[in-house]
Amino acid sequence: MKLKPAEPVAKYLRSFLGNFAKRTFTVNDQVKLINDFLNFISVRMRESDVWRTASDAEFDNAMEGMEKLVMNRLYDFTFTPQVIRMIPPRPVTSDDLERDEVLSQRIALFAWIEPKHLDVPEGEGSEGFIMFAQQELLKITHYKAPRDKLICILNCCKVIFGLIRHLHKEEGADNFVPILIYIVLKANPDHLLSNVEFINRFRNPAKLQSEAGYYLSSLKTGDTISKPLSAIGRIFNEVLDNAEESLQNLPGPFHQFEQLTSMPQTPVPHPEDGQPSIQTPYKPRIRKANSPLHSPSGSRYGTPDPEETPTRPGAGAPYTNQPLAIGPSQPTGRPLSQHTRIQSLVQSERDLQHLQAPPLHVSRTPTPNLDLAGLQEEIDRVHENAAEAARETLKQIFPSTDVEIVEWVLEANEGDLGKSIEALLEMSSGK
Amino acid sequence: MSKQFQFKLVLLGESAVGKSSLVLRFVKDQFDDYRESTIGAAFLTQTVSLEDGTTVKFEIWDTAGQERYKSLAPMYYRNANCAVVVYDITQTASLEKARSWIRELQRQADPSIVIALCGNKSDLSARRQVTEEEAKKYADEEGLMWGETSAKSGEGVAEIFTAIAKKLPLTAPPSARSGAARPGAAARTGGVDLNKQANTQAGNEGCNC
Repeated sequence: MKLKPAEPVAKYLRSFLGNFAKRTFTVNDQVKLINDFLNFISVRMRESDVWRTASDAEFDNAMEGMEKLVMNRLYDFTFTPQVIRMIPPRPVTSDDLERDEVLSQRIALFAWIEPKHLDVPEGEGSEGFIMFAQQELLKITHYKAPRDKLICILNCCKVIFGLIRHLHKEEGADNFVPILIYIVLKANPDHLLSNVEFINRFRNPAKLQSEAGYYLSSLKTGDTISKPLSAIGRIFNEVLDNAEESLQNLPGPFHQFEQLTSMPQTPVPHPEDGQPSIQTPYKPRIRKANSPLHSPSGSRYGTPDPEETPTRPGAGAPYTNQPLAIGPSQPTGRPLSQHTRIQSLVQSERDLQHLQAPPLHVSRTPTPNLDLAGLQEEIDRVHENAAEAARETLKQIFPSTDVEIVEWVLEANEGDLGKSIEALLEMSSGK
Repeated sequence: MSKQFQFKLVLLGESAVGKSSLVLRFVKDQFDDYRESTIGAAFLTQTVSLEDGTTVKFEIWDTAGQERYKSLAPMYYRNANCAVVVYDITQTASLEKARSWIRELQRQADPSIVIALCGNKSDLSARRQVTEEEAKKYADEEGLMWGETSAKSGEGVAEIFTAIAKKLPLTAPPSARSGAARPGAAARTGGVDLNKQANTQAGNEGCNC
């Protein structure tokens, strides 16, 4: 893109981005404008000397890059939870946030749900897979580009199939769908619907067909959770009837209880960008301006308030340990007026609010820490903890494999949990 | 030049009737070019070649058969070109369930959807509860295709999918829905011919900004 022959393309891009930022569009207009622009620019790119001789695959890759670039730049205008954070505020033309809130609250109500309630197959080691799949799904909030968000979903689905194979169950929707729904319930990712809608709107439509389309549709079944009379609502009612007893035995607000009992080994996300990271077993293709730090440790279950979620640094944030400081384009100090505005926005959906626990110590990003030596120690310590957690996870998933082998595989994969699981799966299936 | 068509096929049926096995049998055994799907076996593709050289690629969408997940099905059969509704010939109840799926498809799905009723587990005919006559009669009344299969032995599996491929309207390429595809940004998974069409369609579109 920096090459001279690409100059006309870069010019179109700059002009488009500039004009897009100047005006406010409805969501539908945004979708059309961005899609039209990407269609337009792909023709221009193909004509330029840079890509004239590129193979279809290379050009496809270039277009992926272009989509990513455009969507990264326009993320604040197009991803609904970001739109409301803009200064000055932009009008929100979709009901994504309300739906997010309803879904999130409903999910929080069912945090006590167990695999057996949903026909989720269980077996030795399944917890590790379930936990890992949740982590994959939760990463959706760390990425900006529609493709990257989609990859998080697909990775989550891959882990689910890993579990099905591990349990020697029939591979098919009968086992897959219940596990996926269970994982959505347990992970309760922030702004799940906003994320799904964002992918639907801005991912190249041609890439939302076939396999990706299937799994995205399957995730959308999670959407029905928020409609009490729909499929999941019925499941829940049924389950509620059966599970009253277990409910009575639960202390206090369910999701607090949940947080104490599930995923005890979840490594606390920390700044690890640029290093082999336990948090990111599947390496993102291009990783910019995102940090695992922003996986909010406290908001995993039933985030009560959308704006309590730590924001991510804006586009172009440095790649280093910067996440500890506030990203350059992160909206600092959101005005109170906005806060109250959102409050009133979601207020109407808060019929379930009395059942919500008080905010779970959503710790804001720590204050900027300039003590570099201390920071390094902290990072080392976190790495050690994370490595330990990864070993534990692997042992849980592969109880029959020698501990030494597990450690060896983990080491060989530089601590990458995802790759290690794949490698161990291959080893065990090869038997 | 041979034509390639692509169709969405949704797979419905009670959970123990072996619908996943049926489709795995179809996808894995019958043809050489089977590739492991990238994510998992709930979504599979398989291509059938017809005698006139036409190839039909099926995108197979599996659904969860448990009663409690029944109401998720519309998300899967939306825009489906064809449906295979599976029952187990050793379980009368599974045919009842299949009938209710078929009623739902006739009511809710695309009116042009091609529906095939498929009696699986024909290898267990000793324990048969559903006679061929009974099922065939029902299928005829409803205008459905019908066949018996054995996912275990493979018997009848390729036949039923090939029959569906022949019945599908091979006049207008259903791939027209990919008209919105960005030129050059063709789908990764096969479908080369389709993509070439998409390339030529996408003319110079003005920038709206």
